[in-house]
Amino acid sequence: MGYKSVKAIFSIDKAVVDHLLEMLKDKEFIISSLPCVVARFSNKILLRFSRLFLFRVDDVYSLDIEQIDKGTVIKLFGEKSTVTLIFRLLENDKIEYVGEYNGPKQWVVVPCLEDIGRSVIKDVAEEARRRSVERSHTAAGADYSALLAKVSWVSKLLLRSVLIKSEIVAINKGNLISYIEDLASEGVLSKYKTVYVSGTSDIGSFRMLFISGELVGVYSLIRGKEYVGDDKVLNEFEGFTRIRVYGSNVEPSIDGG
Amino acid sequence: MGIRVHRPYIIAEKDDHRFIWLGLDEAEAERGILTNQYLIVDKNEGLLIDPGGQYVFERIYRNVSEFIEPENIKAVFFSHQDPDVVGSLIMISDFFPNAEIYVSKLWTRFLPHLGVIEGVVMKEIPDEGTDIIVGKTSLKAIPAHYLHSPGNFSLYDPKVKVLFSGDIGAAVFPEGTWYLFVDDFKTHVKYMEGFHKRYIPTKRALDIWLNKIKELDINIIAPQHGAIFAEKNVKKFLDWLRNLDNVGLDSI
Repeated sequence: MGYKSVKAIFSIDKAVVDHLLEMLKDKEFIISSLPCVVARFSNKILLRFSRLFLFRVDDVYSLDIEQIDKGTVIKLFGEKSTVTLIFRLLENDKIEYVGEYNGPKQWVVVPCLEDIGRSVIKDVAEEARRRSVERSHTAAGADYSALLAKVSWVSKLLLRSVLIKSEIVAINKGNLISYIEDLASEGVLSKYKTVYVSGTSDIGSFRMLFISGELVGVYSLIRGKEYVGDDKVLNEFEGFTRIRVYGSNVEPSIDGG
Repeated sequence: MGIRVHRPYIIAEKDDHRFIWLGLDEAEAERGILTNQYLIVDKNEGLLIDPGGQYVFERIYRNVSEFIEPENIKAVFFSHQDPDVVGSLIMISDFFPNAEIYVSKLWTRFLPHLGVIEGVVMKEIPDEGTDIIVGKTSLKAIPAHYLHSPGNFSLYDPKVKVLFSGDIGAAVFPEGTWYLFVDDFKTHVKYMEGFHKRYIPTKRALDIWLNKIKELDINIIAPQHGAIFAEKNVKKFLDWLRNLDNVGLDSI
């Protein structure tokens, strides 16, 4: 038996800060965010830690959450070990994370601790963004660009649409707009109440939404960076681009695509 | 609230080849029939296995993106045509735009009813099976007809010796229980028995499949529902199937 810990500092978006402590109180959310969960039995979970795919350690844990000043302590009480995860808000949108392990197989478990902290924070950030988008919609109507960033919302939009066109187009830099103008001249934008256009090329992907012929939302992911509501970055797209155009005669709803 | 485990888990790995389980969501409507989705990554190419329906798609997309760029998903394998296998086809075609869809030739004419007519490359799997190349690995689609669908395939990954068995090995957990790997085989049989005796039409179909896979070197059997069989439980599971009786029509 022995005790060992790791420490890390994670950066988070400002928008996440407001939601962080609230989410870290939610036991179900924590469990769904933990890597290495391979079984659940009523109120307990089985964590399987492995190293180099040759060595593994299993233990069944119960989970307890305790609030501290500007932070949360998550305690996992196992049959053979204890794992403690401490998250504390710092200044400048940083989180201090300490992962502790008290048990017999430190050399297998301790290297996994940083990954556990990172995984929880990553899920918190995504969930926070989802909640913040939802709150902004209720406050100020639909922000379709933000909704286009949500896979679940786009999924529902697609389920209510038909695929009108799918093609691979050679786009010159700055000329994506010409493709959209062609869609308008072909009558696609006026034929359907809602038109969703998605595209993928070597530099990234974009999503555009038109309602009654007007562009109401734009989302792009270019070289790993997200752009929400910025239609100028569409000029970055060039080269062979796979474009799909979907139409629907129903206006999308905020909560249901 | 149902069980949610949203983090993926690598079930087998060798060099730059990985076989990954993609998490789970237990919806109320599933009544405990949890679905497993898997991803195979070889070098910089990926294949998705039975990616499931609409409500699991966001998790699938997010977890896939942790391992590989969505544009590098080159293939999607559908073991058969059930909605919990193919239901997200329209999202797959949009979010994984370079994926070719591998499915039994029996079902290619039905899938367009999911709203995908253009822009999807359908690769019909002939009755005798086919090879699917991902990265530098040749995966084997092995006939598993009538288990339970008449056009049905398993998928063997020779690099890490994992057999994706589709509905063969499916289990229905009691409420509040879930595990990824079978530990207590005797208890697990209770969760499998009902499915195999009701959904599979005849023992003959199982015998044919068992004969087809008998030469394969298998370390892990990964089903679409229920838990994964590894190490000694692979043999226990195959022996159990071999001795199963009163299957489907045989019991009438």
